[in-house]
Amino acid sequence: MKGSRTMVPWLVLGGFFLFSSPPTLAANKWTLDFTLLPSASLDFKGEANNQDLPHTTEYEGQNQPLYIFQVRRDISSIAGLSGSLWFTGLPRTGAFARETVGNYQQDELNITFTHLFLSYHHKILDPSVEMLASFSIVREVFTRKDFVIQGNPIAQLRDVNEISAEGLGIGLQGRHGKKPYFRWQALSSVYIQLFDCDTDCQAGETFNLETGVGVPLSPHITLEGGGLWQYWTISSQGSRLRVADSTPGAIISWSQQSTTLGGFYIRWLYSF
Amino acid sequence: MRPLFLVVPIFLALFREGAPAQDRFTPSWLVLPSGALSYEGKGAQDTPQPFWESKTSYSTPIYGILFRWEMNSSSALASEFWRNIDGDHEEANPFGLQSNQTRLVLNNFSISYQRKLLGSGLEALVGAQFLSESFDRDQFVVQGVPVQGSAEESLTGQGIQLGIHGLHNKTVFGTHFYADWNFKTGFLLHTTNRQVSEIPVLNEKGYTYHVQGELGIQRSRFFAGVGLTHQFFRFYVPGGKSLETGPVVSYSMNTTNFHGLYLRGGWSFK
Repeated sequence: MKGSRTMVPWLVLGGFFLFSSPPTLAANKWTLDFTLLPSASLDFKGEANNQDLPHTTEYEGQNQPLYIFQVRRDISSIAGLSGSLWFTGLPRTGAFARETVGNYQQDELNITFTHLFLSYHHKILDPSVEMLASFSIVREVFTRKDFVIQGNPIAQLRDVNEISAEGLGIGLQGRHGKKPYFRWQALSSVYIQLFDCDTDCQAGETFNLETGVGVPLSPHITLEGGGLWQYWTISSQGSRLRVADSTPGAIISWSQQSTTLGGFYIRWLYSF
Repeated sequence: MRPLFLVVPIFLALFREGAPAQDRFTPSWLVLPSGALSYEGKGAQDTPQPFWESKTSYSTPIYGILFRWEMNSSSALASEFWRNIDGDHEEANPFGLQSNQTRLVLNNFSISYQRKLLGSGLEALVGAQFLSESFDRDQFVVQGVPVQGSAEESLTGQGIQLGIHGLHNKTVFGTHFYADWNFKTGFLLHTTNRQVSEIPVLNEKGYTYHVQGELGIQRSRFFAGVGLTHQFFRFYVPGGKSLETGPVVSYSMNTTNFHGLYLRGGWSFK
């Protein structure tokens, strides 16, 4: 399969980041953290070749929680491994907002996404400026309902469409001070699509920024608050129509999508 | 093209020694004698045929000028400038809607701060990237009919670049070899274009990535190497404009990439 062959070099490069320069000093420190953005602001735009129908869509935006679970293990005094799972809620749940496709179509759209980042951390500056090398899998799910096409409500039409991609990223993060401390992170990842490579391998990019202030409450527990922003552009096979009564069809996918998400977060960290 | 991603781990396997710490300035020149350059423009248009796509790909010389100043044993400043040799080439819609001649010029300038990872010869880098890409389009043929007109489209993008860089040395039978590689990704915070339309667009941002690996020989202060590079650039802009006579002259999603074998030479001095 062409997509699988294309993925091999990326996996090799990702493997290199994870396993080269093995650290020699085992620290064996674990950190579990949970981050919650109670009301992240999510916006979306799409563009596609829809033949004689409108080619772009506008979305009025929605607010929904973002959850991040992260496990980190410091494998030496200078290096660590982490796994981080992001999700905005379960598919088919959460808030819907109005999507408008020119004068042709309106519908209610809910967007959820899931990211998995596997990262290798390596210290650049003491005490704690690090480089991150990440392999990530990103998945975005679009749920549409309550279609109105050419002014006609379409009863009982509901559609779920998803996109996924795999990629590599490089980032930097720093933590300065002790009580309180200031933390920042920037991570840029580029993606290909393992299962959709015949049409558009160059799937897109995510760029994440985080800044926050934290206070250790005990030797094991830390509380942190701050802001998070993510830009995400992704290509996919779009321009799909679903049969909708006597209309030309309901537009349920786009070939280019841009999603931004931002908001304030609170994070609990537990170290042992 | 994609086997370029294999270059990095192969270098690491061959060159286990870290780069010696030196306070030095290193300019170098680089040329791809026959770089494979391709461009694709896509997007909604203000024309009766509202979604257009246009492609061109050809071989062209591409050159680069690189500077690196090692400020101390752990940090360096580096800059790169890349540009292709321009020339008229055919650009066409894959469905035969339009063809034209285009003269594409891509300029990629970046400046970065590079800092060694603790206990490692590898470096993390953070920098700024400045891009410009211009298209001089003329000799339009729209649906088989020659149409008068010409247009200059110009894209710019500025952004942040993050990456990793490795420089490794090994002496074999008295000959000093080196391996140099990098992987960089960029986020374009802001993009502009000249042929603007009122068509709604995705956004005015973009992204880039750059993978490169090189093997070479160093003698005294001089070095020469051969390598592979692959660079990718995507601009999202409010394009989609057409001339009154019909030809499409700008696109909202612009993707350019080039790759190929290059030769590099330079020297180091304190």
